[in-house]
Amino acid sequence: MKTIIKKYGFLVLTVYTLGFTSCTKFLDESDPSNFTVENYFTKPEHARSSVNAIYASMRDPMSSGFGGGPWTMTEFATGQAATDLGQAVDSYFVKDLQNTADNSYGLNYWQNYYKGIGNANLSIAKIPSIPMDAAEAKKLLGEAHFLRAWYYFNLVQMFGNIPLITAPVDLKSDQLRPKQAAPDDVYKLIVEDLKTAEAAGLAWVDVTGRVSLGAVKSLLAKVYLTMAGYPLQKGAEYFDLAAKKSEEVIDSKQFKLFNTYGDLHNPAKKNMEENIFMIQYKTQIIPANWQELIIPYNKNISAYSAETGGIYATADFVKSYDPADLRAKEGQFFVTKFTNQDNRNLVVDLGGYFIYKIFDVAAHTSTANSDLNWSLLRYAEVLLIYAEAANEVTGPSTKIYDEVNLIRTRAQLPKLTGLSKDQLREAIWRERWYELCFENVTWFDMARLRKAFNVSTKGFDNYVGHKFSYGPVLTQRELLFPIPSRELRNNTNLTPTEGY
Amino acid sequence: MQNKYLITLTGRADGSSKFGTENQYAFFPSAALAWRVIEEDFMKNIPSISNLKIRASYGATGNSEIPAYRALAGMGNYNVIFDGTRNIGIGTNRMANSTLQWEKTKQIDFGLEVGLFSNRLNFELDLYRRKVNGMLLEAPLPLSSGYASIFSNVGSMENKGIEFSVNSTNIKTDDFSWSTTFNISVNKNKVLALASGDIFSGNGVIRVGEPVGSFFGRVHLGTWGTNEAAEAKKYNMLPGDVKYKDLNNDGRINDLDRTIIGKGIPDGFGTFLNTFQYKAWSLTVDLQYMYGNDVLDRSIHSAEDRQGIANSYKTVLNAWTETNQNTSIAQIRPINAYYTTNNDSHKVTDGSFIRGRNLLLAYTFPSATAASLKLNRLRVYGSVQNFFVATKYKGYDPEVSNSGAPFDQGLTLYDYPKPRVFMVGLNIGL
Repeated sequence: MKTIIKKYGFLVLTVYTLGFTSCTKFLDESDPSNFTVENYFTKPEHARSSVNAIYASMRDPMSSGFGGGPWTMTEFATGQAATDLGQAVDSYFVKDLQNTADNSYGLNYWQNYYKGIGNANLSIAKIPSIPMDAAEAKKLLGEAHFLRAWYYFNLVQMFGNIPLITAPVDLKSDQLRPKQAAPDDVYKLIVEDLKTAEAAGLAWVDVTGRVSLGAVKSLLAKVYLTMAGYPLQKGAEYFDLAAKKSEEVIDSKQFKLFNTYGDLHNPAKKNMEENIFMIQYKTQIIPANWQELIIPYNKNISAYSAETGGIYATADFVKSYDPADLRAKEGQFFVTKFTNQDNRNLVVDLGGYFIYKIFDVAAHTSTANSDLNWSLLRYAEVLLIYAEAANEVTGPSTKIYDEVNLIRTRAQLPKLTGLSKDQLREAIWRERWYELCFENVTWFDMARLRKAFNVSTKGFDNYVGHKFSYGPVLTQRELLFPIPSRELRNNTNLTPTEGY
Repeated sequence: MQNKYLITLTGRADGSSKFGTENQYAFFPSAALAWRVIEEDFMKNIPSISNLKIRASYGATGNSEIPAYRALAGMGNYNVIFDGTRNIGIGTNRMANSTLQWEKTKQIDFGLEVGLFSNRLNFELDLYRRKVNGMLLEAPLPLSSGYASIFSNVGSMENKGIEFSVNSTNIKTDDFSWSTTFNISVNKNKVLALASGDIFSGNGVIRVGEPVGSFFGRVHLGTWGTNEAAEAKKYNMLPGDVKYKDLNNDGRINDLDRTIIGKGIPDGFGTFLNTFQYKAWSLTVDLQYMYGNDVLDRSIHSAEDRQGIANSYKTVLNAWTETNQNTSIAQIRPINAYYTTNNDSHKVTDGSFIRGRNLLLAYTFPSATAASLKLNRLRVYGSVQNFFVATKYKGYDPEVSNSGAPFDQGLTLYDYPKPRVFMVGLNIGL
């Protein structure tokens, strides 16, 4: 009897199991060991992690090595940068104005910035449904909106007519192969996003390196200034908006200029005083990686084994500084001599003007592992945004002179005074060129002003027709970088950039 | 009846959780028919035919060889620094593909087996057509989506071919015998359809109407001469630079000027094996051949294009100079001048070859000798594996692939050469 129960009991169990486990259910796999978009976004910490991911893409174009570095693209495009790194052909194509849509630098920006936008879109779509503290959610969404605006602001300036994607994309989405949006619409989103971030309850300063209210307002001021110029040419109204927004940052008294230029590349000064917003690095964890690119080719000056000569300033640009300008003096913004790696008492002539303002002294002399952050928005720029915008609205004023002269005084230059509106405009532009060089700012200024700095006249030429000091002449097509050929291949709804 | 007609029918339904919820199951039937004609009564009157069989088959099979969870929108880890410490970020990694399904192969095959003269001469012939639907590959996505690629069923391709083999005992006497085996496989591969245009996979392209594993690159025309300086300048080139063909005639040389410059998969291949036996001596000559395949030697990228930066082939001694302009090798420039390097037709050569796969000579001692040593069997032999390769290819070995990407056959970058092995051996049977 017992055996019978055993036998039939087993049979019944088997039938039961078969009957109630339909085949489809049995293959429904969730992937419990990994997160998926469907099973994530259930806890407050998921909101934090998802916003963290948006930041990561800012680092990608900074990657540098023997193939060059995407971040140098907008530097070589100014005509003020030189290179000895023969194998980084993409640098030469940009520098010599022979760029093509195949350039990997442009592709890197396009790919990674859209990845950042994709992550921002995901956070913005999913965080509102997570049960969590409302104020915290609002702050996180503020960060996400700021970062989406940051990515779009850079992409629209570099590539012009770009797809505008504001929600997560999947296979069934009509935005999978999008058409290009008008730059006006992209800027509209950027401004909306920054206003959302502005109202998100963020602190004025965030020394941990996250988005702060100071960063939001500074970027918004920069966006307004850019909208006042090319290609939108929104003019006076936007100069006024830019002036007022930058004035809010100045009047907050949360930020100040560093006393020395050395602090621009001093790891102890991350995310404070002059540094409003930065790409975050930490030695031994995620070290900054552009150092090998900014030292001369194999002069044995550095603890890094790779010394590439990837980018340095042209002598023509450095020599255009006022001889009294502290920034152009040895060991301030530029360096022409350093010591030998095997004998630090032995001075090595570097053979060019290498960029000291982003040079990590400790990394080169001992660690080969950089602890620098990359500055994206600093207070000096905010002062110059204010001065430029306010001058357009009101003409020269004491306050404008005061702000510009803070920068000039630090450079040990005489204060500006008694200039006409036009003279002051050019004086402020010159200050931007001299103060913000090699920080991925100058080319963007050139594009919005359609002007280029002439190193021999020290005046400003029209962008189209401007001749670089080493020969090539800018044409209309160089107002934009070409949409990468890989993207054109995979999305036939896109129109290639004119002239490429 | 049972010996004359053979029928096999099978059917199986497979399910895999790797695929999208809409398409996890697929049914794979197959059928095979064979007619052993030799068993028919009318064959009894033809004594020279010792075997005759006709067969046909049709079958479907499935492939699910992709990593798990590719149908789901998996998220990935991102690291970020805040306050000088590592913070975890979780963000996008894979786009979901709920329609991901089995790759299905349908094959139809027709075969004929003939044996003549008590099977001293045997032929076997197979004709087949194999169609692969829903090829599982990583397909590129527009980057504006935030993703670079997605695992999907990208399209279909077909393989058509003939396989033929002969086994023959050419001579058989008491002291001497000679037998030959020859086989050949001829295959034609073609991509039939792709859901969204060309797929660039590794160094090749997958394009409708072309074989998979087609090499993709520029057409190398040599170098610009000093008398072409004006034309070279239009392309921002100097005399001494590599001259590529402006395929689309847009006045620029860029990635749009790439085309199919070769293919890694062969038109045909096979073996030719002869065995000779004379008294106690035996000799085996084993040859292998392949034709219609190209090799894309990417070692040239480093060894010719990067003169002065990397170690070079001695071919760079023939680099362009004012007095040596008829050359494929660009002028040697200072290290800080830029150089160009692209996959191009100069790096592609015909990889057809005949290889001496094995040459083996053996002598078996008479059983009396073996017995005197208290052994059952004693045999000595010497062999040379890979004893020659006849090919136009200049690299180490035309039968090469050291790339990990799918369909990258015939692609090499600093491959390790195939060794030639000399062996001497002794077989002892106790």
